[in-house]
Amino acid sequence: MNFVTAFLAEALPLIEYYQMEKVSGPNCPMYRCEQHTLIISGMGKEKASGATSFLGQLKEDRSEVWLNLGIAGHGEYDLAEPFLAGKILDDKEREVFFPPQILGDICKVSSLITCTQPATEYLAGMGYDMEAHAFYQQASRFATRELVQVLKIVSDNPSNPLQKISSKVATQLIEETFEIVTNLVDQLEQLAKEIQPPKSLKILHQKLLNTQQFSATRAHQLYDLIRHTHALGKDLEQLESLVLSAGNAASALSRGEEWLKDSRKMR
Amino acid sequence: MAEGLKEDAMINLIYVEEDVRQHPRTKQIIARFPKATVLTCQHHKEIFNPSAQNFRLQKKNPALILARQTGKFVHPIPPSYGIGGQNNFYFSHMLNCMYDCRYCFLQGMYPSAHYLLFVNYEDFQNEIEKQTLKNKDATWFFSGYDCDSLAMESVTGFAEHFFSFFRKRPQAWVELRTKSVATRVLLGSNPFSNAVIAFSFTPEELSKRIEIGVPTVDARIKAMNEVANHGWKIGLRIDPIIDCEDFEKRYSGLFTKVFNHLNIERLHSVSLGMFPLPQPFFKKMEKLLPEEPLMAGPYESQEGKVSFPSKIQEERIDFCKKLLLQYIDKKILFCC
Repeated sequence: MNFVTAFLAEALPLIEYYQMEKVSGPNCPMYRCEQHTLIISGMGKEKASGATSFLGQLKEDRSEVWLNLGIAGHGEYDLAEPFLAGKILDDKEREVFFPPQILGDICKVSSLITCTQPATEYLAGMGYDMEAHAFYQQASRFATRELVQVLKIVSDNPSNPLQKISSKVATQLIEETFEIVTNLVDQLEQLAKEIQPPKSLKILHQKLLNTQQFSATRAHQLYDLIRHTHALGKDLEQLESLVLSAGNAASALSRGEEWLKDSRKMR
Repeated sequence: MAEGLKEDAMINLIYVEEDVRQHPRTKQIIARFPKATVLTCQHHKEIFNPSAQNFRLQKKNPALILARQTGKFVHPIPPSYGIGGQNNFYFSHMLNCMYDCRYCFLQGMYPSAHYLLFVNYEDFQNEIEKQTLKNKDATWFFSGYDCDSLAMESVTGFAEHFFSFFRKRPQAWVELRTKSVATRVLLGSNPFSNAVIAFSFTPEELSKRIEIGVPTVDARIKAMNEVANHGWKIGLRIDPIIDCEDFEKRYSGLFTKVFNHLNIERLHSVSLGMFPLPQPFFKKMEKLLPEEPLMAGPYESQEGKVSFPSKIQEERIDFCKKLLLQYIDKKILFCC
């Protein structure tokens, strides 16, 4: 999971809960634990864009989750109400994003507009922040869109208009809804796992590639063979020993194919 | 609702194109989902078309998109398609389906699993009318290619609306294809002669494994018989035919079940369809369903299509034909 927050105050509950440690980053503070990375972008679109892009370039896996967490204004919701952004507009750009919402009823889903300056006027049904659009624009380059989400906690609304919000209040707002945050994180992580092929298949592929000279095409065919063996519920160890005992790549593939042939018919 | 969508449980989010926000059908549908969040968009492509979407993930909780079809309303069907007449078209008031059939080409074709419903039924009907008037012979219009024609009837009111249209136009034939047992709309209205209700089947053993969310074969046979007994013409679609273990036993078992109670006089046509998929669709589906045994089948790739080896296909089709001809006249048997 990759977290992007604008301020340390918004990140503190995450850092504490996931026991993340600070790592040296180029411009923005970054924190890490075994499973998660967090980057603190600073306020505004440009900073959010830069930090997200920087973090994205460190990642190879397109099935990682991205979450922009922070406080926001809202024209309708109560203070401390969390909401997911289902539609993200920008006050200067035409492009609109619609992060697919597949988790059902975790919390409310709302439109959100990312503003260049702090918003002081509120439209009913609209959230207001300063980073989400830039975050989404970048993060959706690095992951499938279902796994890129924006979760905001209402810090101001028409009855409680924007004033200077202290760091302490920002942290408190996140803490108050932290159960929803962790629930969202867990569910998104679970979804990410579901679309990842088991790591064991890639490990076996790499191991077998080292045993013979496979051309690029044959390497691909070998991975298909491993994947199909797994999908058909056959024994991967048996495939491994067949490939290992073959004299060359072509023979390894044909032995494997022959062995799998009878299992391919739908049961 | 006999069967179909449990609305409140299944639609949490509705996207609406600004242009159809005030359309009476839009208002009606939104009113059915009082708990759903409604978000507006300029064009459904903003939601449906972006790359880097995962069909499988969206399938867990598809949203409903209400939009206006502004492109082609009806599409010609190649003359090689057996059923129908000289002039055949298909039309799709909706893209995507509430069922999750592992062989379904929609997941290879569309970037999104959201239900995209075009609410401007009247524009479809105008085009159907135009095409019908162009021809002296009967013109056929097939529905159920990009969605299930009946499964979401409680939301869309599609069949009810189009029945009143086709009923008045005997030269325009309509086929609704379905795997649903949501037959209330059929049992609640008078059948008319230029309509065929086509039910598709695979044997129960396969259906359980690869047609996720689809009513059981027995339930569908029961629904089909009720529809036939009510007076509707019935189409039987054995499609796709999947090569499998115990093929003969399973398919003959299916045919025995189907023809056990079916009023043959109501049977309009039977068709057999194999499992060819355009290669790009198959590649995408392989990526989406890496653990699905069906995607690891003994396929061949020929002329841009992935299918069972041609010898197997021919054998399976021949076997099914022979069996079916024990029950029906060859005039109503088609291979598509």
